Amino acid sequence: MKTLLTEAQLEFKNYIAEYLEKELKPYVKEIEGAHSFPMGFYKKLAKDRLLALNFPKHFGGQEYDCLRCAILIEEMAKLSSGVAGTVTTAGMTGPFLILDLGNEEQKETYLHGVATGETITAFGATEPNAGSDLTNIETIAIKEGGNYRINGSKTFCTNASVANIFIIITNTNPEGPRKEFTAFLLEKDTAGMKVGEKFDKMGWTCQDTAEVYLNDVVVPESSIIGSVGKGFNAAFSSINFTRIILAATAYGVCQAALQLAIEHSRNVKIGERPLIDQQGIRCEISDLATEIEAAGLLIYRAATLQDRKQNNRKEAAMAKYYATNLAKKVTKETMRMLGPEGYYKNGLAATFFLDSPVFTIADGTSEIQKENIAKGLKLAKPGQLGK
Amino acid sequence: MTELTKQQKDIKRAAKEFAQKEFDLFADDGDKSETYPKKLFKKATQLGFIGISIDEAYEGGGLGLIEQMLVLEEFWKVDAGCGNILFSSLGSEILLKYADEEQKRDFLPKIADGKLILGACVDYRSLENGVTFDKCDDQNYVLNGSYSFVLHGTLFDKVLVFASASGNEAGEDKRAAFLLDKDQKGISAEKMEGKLGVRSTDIGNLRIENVKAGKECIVGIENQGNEQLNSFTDLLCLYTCAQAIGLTEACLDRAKKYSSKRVQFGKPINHFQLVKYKLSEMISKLEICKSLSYKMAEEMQNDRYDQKMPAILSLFAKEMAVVAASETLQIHGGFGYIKETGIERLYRDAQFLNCFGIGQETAKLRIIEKS
Repeated sequence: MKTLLTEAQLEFKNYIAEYLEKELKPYVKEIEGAHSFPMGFYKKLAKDRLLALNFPKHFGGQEYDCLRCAILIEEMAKLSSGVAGTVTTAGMTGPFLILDLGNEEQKETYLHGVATGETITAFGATEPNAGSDLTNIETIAIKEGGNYRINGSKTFCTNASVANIFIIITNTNPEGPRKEFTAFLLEKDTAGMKVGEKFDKMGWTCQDTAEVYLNDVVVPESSIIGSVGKGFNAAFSSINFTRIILAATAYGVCQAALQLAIEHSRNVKIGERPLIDQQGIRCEISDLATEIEAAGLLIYRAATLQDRKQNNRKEAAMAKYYATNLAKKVTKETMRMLGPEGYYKNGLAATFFLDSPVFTIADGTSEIQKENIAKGLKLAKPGQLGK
Repeated sequence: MTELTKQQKDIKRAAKEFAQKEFDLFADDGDKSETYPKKLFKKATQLGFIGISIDEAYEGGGLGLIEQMLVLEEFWKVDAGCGNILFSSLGSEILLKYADEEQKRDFLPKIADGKLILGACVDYRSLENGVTFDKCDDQNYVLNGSYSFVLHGTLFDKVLVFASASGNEAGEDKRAAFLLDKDQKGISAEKMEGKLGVRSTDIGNLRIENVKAGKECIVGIENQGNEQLNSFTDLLCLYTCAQAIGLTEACLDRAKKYSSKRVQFGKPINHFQLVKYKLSEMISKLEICKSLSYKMAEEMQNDRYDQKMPAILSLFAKEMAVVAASETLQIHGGFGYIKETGIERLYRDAQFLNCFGIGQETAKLRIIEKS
């Protein structure tokens, strides 16, 4: 698409596209078929300095802005949104919380390893009874002298089986009238912490997701990220950034799926004429292409606001809501256009189709995004749903 | 809504009970390993679910298209892949209507008995343009082409093939329906593995190379091919409605149940308007689809139906099912995306309807054509 990107941004985009064509594309099937964290590719990214792009140079990062992070993920998602999602949580948004809110010791201990691929972060906020409503969490941490004793469980914990650090959101005031949310940083193999079996999911097969059980886990006070009662700051400090990146993932999938529909309509003939000769098909593609470019503009705008450090909650929500819903639509329509051929698992159309539903769920569902947009439009009172 | 007769209600209930009791054993395994539930098919045959719309004179159930629909609907409500076992008789409707007496006597009882499995194509491109025939003389024909996405595509004994006369002039449209034997020389079937959903269903691609067919292979008379294909297409539309109704009802059930139990922000999520809207949309579309498609089934049975309705309803039904599955998954959140809850299977199965049968473009054009 003709784009509003600057020349430097465009150059980065092309560089990434070429890089991934060579380093990811040939291995996508193998990676997704392995149903586990793509460690080989992840280390390769580390070696080529493409992890922790958004981190300070001090920690081996590139100090890249949100827009360029979005571009990297968009390009990656064109080949595999599962890989893109994994790289996002492990090497971009997960550890960003520590950067944002952690103390010096935590940063020095863990953050140098992010860019090198040695530190893989798992993020545990969601619980069986706390999804959209995180205030419902039941994992508790009770102060015992200089330590905290944590009990509870987390579900859909991304990267849980390969991570070496876990960010766990707890309630540190279970007895009191008001819950008090506090984030802890736990190392893997901490006594009492157990990672469950990986979930068998419909799509995003290389993205590792599991339950984490916390049974009398005792950690020193210094494991707290930020301060007591500020756990939601940890959970939400980079949420707009995260939403933009997931929107970019969906945007990449939209583009790649539409490309399949276009190729199919060019190649398949009804009688003598290619499908694309039919006005209905041609113009349906026009419709989708228009919506996809609109999604791109929303995403780039939200990212630009992020980089200007302007409030972008509404804009990030709009980009996320629009792009992720669109991905479901485009992947569904692409499969339909491909007809029976599209319905087979070895095809890209099927992969895109199976991957997309997670986009409208993760990092705030579409319903929550609509509430966020409503808040941005000043249509909802403070404290009304989806704080 | 169209009031069902007592007998229809009984059949619906029997189908429901059978599916709920028997599918469990096969559904998960079928979805995992893409195996066809042979034993289930046998049981369904013994209980008379196969060929229920075949006349009693030919040892069928002697019931109509509505009853056939109701069974398909109840089967799909429990598991789409297993539900498709009913299609071992897909095409018998055409035989019943068009075949000569001898063909009917030869084949229909065996179909009703589960001893003869019919293969039937559900890819509109193949149906229309896949196979051509040359007429050698008054008695002999040669067929060539490929017939893709045939239900029971490797297990069939006979396959119903719509072929157009080769060298048709533009605008000319000669077509004949053939009933070919699996063992006939020149027919080869390849199993299409790796389906996204309906994985218990046997789907295959057929290559048809210089297959010699005698006049006796033609269903009814040669020049009726177009009419027969037209009827077959409308039947596919009708069955699509039944499948979509079954799947949407399954979605609605699951969505209702989960949303009444799942508490977020201090109340069950079915107290939120956005969730209520999703449910009310499913309920509304189901009512519309059910009453119109039962009416259509009845009229088709009497061979006096509004010709544009099958395409209209199949378009509506496909969209209904796909949206319902998508929203049901959304209501379940992350739990909908993991395999153990079975919600994602509904999402995969629904998309079968969107990819097979007559496509959206074809349906839209048919509506104009028949209006």
